[in-house]
Amino acid sequence: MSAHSQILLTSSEGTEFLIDRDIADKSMLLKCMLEDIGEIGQAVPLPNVSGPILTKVIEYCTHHRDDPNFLSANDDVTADIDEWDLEYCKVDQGTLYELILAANYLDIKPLMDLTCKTVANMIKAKSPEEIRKTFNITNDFTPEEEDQVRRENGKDWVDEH
Amino acid sequence: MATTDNDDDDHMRQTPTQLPEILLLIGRHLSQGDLTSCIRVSHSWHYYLEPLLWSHVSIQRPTSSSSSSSSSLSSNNSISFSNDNNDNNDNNRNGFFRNINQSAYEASIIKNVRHLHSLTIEFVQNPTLLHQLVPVLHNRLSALITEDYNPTIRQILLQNAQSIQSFTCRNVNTRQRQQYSLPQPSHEATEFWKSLSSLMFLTELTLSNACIYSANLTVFWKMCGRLKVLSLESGFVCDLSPSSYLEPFKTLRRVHLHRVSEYPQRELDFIRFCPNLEHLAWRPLQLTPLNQFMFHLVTLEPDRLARITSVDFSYIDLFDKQLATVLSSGLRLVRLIAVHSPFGDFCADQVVCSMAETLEELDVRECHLLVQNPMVQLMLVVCRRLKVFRADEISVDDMNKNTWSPAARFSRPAFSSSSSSSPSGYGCGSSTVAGYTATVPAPTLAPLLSMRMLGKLMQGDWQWGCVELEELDVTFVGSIAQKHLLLNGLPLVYSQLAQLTELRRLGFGWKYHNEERRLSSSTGVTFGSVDSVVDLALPRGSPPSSASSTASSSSSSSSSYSSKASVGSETQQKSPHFRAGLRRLWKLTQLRVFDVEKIQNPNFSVSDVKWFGKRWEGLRRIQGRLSMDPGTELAIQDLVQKDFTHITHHHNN
Repeated sequence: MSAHSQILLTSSEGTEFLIDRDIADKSMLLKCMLEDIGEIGQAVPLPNVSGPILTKVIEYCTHHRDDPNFLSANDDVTADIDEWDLEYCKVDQGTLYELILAANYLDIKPLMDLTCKTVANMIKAKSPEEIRKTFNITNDFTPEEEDQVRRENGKDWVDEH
Repeated sequence: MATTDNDDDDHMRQTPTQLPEILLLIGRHLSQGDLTSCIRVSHSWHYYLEPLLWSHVSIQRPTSSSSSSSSSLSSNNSISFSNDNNDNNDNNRNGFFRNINQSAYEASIIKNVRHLHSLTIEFVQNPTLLHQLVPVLHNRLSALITEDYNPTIRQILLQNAQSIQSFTCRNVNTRQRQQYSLPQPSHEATEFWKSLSSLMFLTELTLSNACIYSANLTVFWKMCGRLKVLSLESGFVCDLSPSSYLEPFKTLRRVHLHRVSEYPQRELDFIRFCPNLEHLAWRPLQLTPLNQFMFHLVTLEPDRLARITSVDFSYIDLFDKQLATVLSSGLRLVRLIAVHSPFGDFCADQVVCSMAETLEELDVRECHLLVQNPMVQLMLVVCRRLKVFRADEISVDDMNKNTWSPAARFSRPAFSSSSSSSPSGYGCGSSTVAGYTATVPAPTLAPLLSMRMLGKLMQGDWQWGCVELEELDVTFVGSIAQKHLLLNGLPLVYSQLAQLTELRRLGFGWKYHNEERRLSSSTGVTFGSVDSVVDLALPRGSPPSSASSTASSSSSSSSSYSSKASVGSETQQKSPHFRAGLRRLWKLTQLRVFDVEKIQNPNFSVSDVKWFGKRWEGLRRIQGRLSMDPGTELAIQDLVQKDFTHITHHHNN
């Protein structure tokens, strides 16, 4: 196995990261790229990912390095988040968002699931107003519109805190 | 931070909650109740999340008494009239709005029909809803789950013939609800199968009480050529053996046949016709004449079954040896479920010999013949990949290798089935099937193999090999009469358990046993002696009423529990106790569920709970009572509520 071969990645600021091939393979983007063009010996530029975020992503992939169910583990939407992952996601919202975007860009499905689940947990049991506040979203509904949405979606029984 | 920066357009676009595909992924993790909040957040959230909210609709029977006048449309996993997750805390509002909003909800279903993918119809009180709904359902549904079959369902099926992939009907023939009624008339069955055959993309079919007459077979075979999952329960099937001119059902991956026909061998012909089968759940019709299932199964070409990795033989009507023969027919099983089955020594032997390298899940609870304890041990020693193990009992006495002699306890039932020491069911089996036993290729060599392994193991330690175990559910049985055995066995139990560091769920039963009757050769799961054992453990002052009681009813046992609890501290010193080695389990930090319901007379102390609450960091749930002493139990509850808010403690009283 080519476990010892290493890949050089360049983050958006130009910081270089040298990682093992099997860790790079956790990202479908890198995996496909490396399979298609082979190892070119040059750094792979990742203009959409900043250095700190890339560090974080590599940390995740390294932890789950030998995880045999890496791709199927999170199929169960209702499954709990395990301890390490929970700790891993204790970051500020900005970092979390960037992690989602990086996971999306690098195509790392388990990390995508984990981060989305974390965001979902931030939404749970919140009223629309609280959600807006949490995610800094402007309410573009008129009161009438919002009322209509509420009526049409059985909202009456669910919230009104 | 990206979100605090409203003016920066670039940053706004960067916020993942603004990206539809990410929003949808987030939405997948939300309950329906949370989704209803989300769609009120903004236009874009409404636009992207509403389809998610309305993709599963369920029309069900009213669940709460307050809604008796209206048909509540509720569900757990789909949009519903009374959302179970969230409305518990304001019931008043619930009752008030229910009637008014019933029609609003129905209107919303109609309005959102374009998002509908999966529909569950359990109970329809207001037929107008269906009158409105059905005409617009044209090739929208991918899944349909219904309680029974009627012209409306038929219409939905026909209209969605190009889209339905999964169809479940819990009671195809409504007439069979009455016990003595006639089966479905053949013309109705024909009509039913005809409409099913029009579903071009059907891959999952689950039917209860369906009839397949010979006139329907052509249609049925044609459908089997497309299905991935087939589940038939009850009903009547005239002949399941496919004719030789048919193509094998290559797509079928999972088959459940539960009490469908009187001809097991024909069901078997069917099974051999599915070369790619992965999971087989088979349960014969009651009163099947001592069936020939296994004779046919062993005659199957090995490669026909090679792909089956998961088998469910729960409630099967065979004998241990026969089931063992089935298991020996070249199956490379990963999952073996045999709840309430004749799983005994012969089967255990097959597990040891042919599945030790593959088996990951083994469930042998409630088996008629208790597997001899050394065999249970042996399975745990050899099956290194085991992740889930559920069984009834493990004897603590036998944990101690010095007391165990294979010649006395193992060989007799294995080689002379008619010997008096063999369990009664077993003996009966050998007498009634005397004619068969000669012709069946019984796994006679296999016990020898196990014996040899046992011999080897005897020299070393009884170390369980299954260190990857994630779920363990067993009851340890110790005998108070032979205290030295218990004292030797107890540390062994804990040293084995202490190794299972991957354990996530521990169903930890414990009880004391009267030595009069050997566990390994006992005939059934009668615990008549349990109470008297408890009383033996009591100091002389125990009430005579419970001392004389030998009934195994729970009420009498609980009475003796309480009598023990009142003298608890004395008793603890008198008898070696199950919790003595608890603290050796400090490595079980992954444990999430600690189930102590099967502990007879639990008496964990407050400090025990404090200890494992801290030590087992992963613990989230305790199931069952922790102490019979009401004061201690209250103190424990108090402790859990105050200090361990992340742990929930469930128990019945």
